[in-house]
Amino acid sequence: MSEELISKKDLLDMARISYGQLYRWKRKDLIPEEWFIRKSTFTGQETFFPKEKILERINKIQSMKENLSLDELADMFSPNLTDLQLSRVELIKRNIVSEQVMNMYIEQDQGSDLFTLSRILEVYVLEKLLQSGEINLDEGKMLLQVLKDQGAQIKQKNCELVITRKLGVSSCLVVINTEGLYFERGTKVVTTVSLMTCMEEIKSKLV
Amino acid sequence: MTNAKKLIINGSGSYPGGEYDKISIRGEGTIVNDVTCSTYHVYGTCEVMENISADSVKIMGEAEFKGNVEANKTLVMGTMMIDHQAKLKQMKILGMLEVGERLSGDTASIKGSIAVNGDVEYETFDSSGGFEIKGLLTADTVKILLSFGNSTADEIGGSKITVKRGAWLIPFTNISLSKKEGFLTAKVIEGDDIYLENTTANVVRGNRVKIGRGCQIGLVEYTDVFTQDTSSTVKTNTKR
Repeated sequence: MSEELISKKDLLDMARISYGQLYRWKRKDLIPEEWFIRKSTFTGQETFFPKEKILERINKIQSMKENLSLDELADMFSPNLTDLQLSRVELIKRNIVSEQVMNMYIEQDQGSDLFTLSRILEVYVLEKLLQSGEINLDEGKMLLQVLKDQGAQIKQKNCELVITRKLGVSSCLVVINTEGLYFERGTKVVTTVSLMTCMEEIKSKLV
Repeated sequence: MTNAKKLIINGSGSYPGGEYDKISIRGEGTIVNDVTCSTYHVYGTCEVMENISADSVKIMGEAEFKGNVEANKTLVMGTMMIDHQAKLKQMKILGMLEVGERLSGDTASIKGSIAVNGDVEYETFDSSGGFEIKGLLTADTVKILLSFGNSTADEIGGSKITVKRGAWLIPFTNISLSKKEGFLTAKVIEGDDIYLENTTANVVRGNRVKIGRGCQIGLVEYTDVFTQDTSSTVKTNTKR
């Protein structure tokens, strides 16, 4: 998973921001720690960033900071599970989840009609994958179980959900801060979903 | 806080955590679980085995925290040691503070010394004491007055960074208050406005960089202004 990197000074030039701003955003956790990649170069130590991600993030921050305070922005970017609760009807109305998937989730989950953010994430991921046709119902159940069991791990971290299939047998895993992931021959990676991105998608739908 | 109680330890004792109004330890105390309180005062020695969250913390004696610490106001005149993370919104250190992981908050005023094994993040960081930071020191304004010893930080980043030598005994003269001078060592210093004295750094990057006396800098990268005192050495400087 090698990405194109951009050095800090090039980034500042390109995005037209100052050191002060960049560090302020870092302090407010608008830019995750993992994106600061320190390397020594021939001129001394330099910090690099994953180019695409950081430019997209800075764009978002700049376009939204007029309407939202930095703290509100931080809430939006961090996958931290805030004390938000939404009802089942609300979720369907806001187009986060379709009715069929919701019914399936409730059937599986047996929980209440009030959804906390972590449950919204579960049902959203389920919706996304079922709708794209990448997984079937049984795999959906498996996925829910993994998400539920690993709920504590998912907070704050850069998690990805990977679904693989080999000889018709599927398996589902959550990986945290991966550099790379390799399987034996014959394994098909059905899909990888970044939970952080999902969380941001949900949040942008909620705002 | 509903029906919160006071906890006063005058001799020695070990108590469970929970919710308290005021905690005051004059002898030797141990608190074994998570604790929440409005004020936490230590005049003797104390140990908290887990996390603590308090509105105001005052340490006149010696305090050791094995977990995380969260406080609005912190005043340390003695020694405070924190094994994990610390969120001290307004802190004033006249004694000694040691943090095992990240230290963050709004305003920091250091007249004693701090040693942090992780990053330090503040909005304003004002030090006239000493520090040893094994990570990034970042604040909107970093003001460092070097009056004694050798202060170190891996990286320093912010918008306005000022590093000056210690206070003079008689103003407008060169007779310094103490015989010893302080020095700062950092690998990288990055900011919009930078003024440095008595600093050793590999790389300094900024828009307006002013190098005062007593500095040894490997590389300065600047965009707008660069000035250098004749007593300092800067190996290379590039405008970009």
